[in-house]
Amino acid sequence: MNYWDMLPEGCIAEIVSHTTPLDACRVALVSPAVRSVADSDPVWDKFLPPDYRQLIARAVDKKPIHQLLSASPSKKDLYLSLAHQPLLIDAGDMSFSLDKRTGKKCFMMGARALTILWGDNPSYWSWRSDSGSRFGKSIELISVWWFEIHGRISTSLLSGDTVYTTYLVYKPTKTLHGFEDLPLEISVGIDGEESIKRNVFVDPEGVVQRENVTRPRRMGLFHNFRAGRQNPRTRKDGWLEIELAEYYNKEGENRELQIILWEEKSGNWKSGLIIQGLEIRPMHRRLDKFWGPVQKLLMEPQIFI
Amino acid sequence: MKKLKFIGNPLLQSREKINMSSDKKWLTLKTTEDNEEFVVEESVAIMSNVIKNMVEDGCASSVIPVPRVKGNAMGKIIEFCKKHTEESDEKVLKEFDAEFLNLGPDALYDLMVSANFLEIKVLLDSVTTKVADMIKGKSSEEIRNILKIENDLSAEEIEESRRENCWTRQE
Repeated sequence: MNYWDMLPEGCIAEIVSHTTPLDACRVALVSPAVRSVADSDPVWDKFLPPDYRQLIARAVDKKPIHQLLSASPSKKDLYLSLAHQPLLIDAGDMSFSLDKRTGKKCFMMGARALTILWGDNPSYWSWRSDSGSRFGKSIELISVWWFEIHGRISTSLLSGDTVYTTYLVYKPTKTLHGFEDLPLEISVGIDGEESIKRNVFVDPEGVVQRENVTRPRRMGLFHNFRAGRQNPRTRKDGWLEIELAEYYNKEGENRELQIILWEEKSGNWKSGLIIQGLEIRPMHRRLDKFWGPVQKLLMEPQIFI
Repeated sequence: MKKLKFIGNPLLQSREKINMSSDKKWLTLKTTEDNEEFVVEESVAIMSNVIKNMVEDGCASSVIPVPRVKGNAMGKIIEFCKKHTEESDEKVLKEFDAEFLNLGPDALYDLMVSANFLEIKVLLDSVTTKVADMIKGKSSEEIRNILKIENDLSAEEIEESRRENCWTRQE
């Protein structure tokens, strides 16, 4: 007996909107009748964040988004567009997109939105046009011994009741040097409150080469494992990203989340990084479910998993 | 002999005694499909918006006919409404709901159709969430099986749908 024929469309839409965008797409594959409900606006309107209109209104280049909106897209099309193509907002120094699986909001703070110590001095850092960066520009580390970068974002922008992970999005250049001796220190947390502190290696190969010149390659794997999650990963856009730390965003709060990276203890001159920005997006690991008790554990410094 | 179901005080045996009991108002709901009658407290019955409107409009005289809902579904619905009227502890209610909704898809859909018809928001929300949880994370094939939907798509249509929704494979 086909129960879905019996159920009113409104009920089916309610059921699907209680699942996730990913589930809704799977439901759409089930049958044509179900598909029309699973793809409908009432369902996908629930998947879009409640403030998506305000965020779209902050877009810098209104043309592409207005072109999209003038074609009266379905809410599903709008959702997929925001998931696939980050929107530049606020003077073009920040980008907004949706996490495709969950509909939660993702942001990247471009290099111009960050506070970079000595960033205005071209002997130390150099701004460049960069078509590979979604912001059209990036900043290159020429040479500095006191490396310090601050990023700030209001938690009211983030999706409520969500565990977020922060990343440094960067590329090494041929002159990458100085990061192999000591890791970057990271601090992620609310300004004025206790934060998560970690160490990350932006140049793990350099660390391996320096410390293990004569060891066979598999010991290099051991070193990568020891650094755990803090190993750089290549993104789809070709940039590298290194995971910094997590933050659990409660519903309805308006605080300032501060992300700090710094290294000045070694006294080494560091060079050879191009920075696109700092990204913050929802965590996808299974750990997400158990965040509460785990968070306390992760507040310990220098956790290597 | 008409089947009479008493929901409430099990010591009361007849309708007269109920009419004479103090402050509680009682209603009789009759499922027109199978002629089962249920005597319920008004405070429980008005969890259904449909019945609430009838009572407020003065239409609820002696027996309220309820079409489209079968007797066994009505019994379950009244059990749910009674618990939700009596209990205020969220945790207890959550546990009750979990146990109460531990049913097969057929029974769940019956409940859902009835709750939608009777406009009982709390019950509808609970069943909706339960069915949603059943299909979350499942493949299209599994969803089709759970919901007992016939696969009436041709091979080409399935392929086209997959291509349009192809990110579900990669993610």
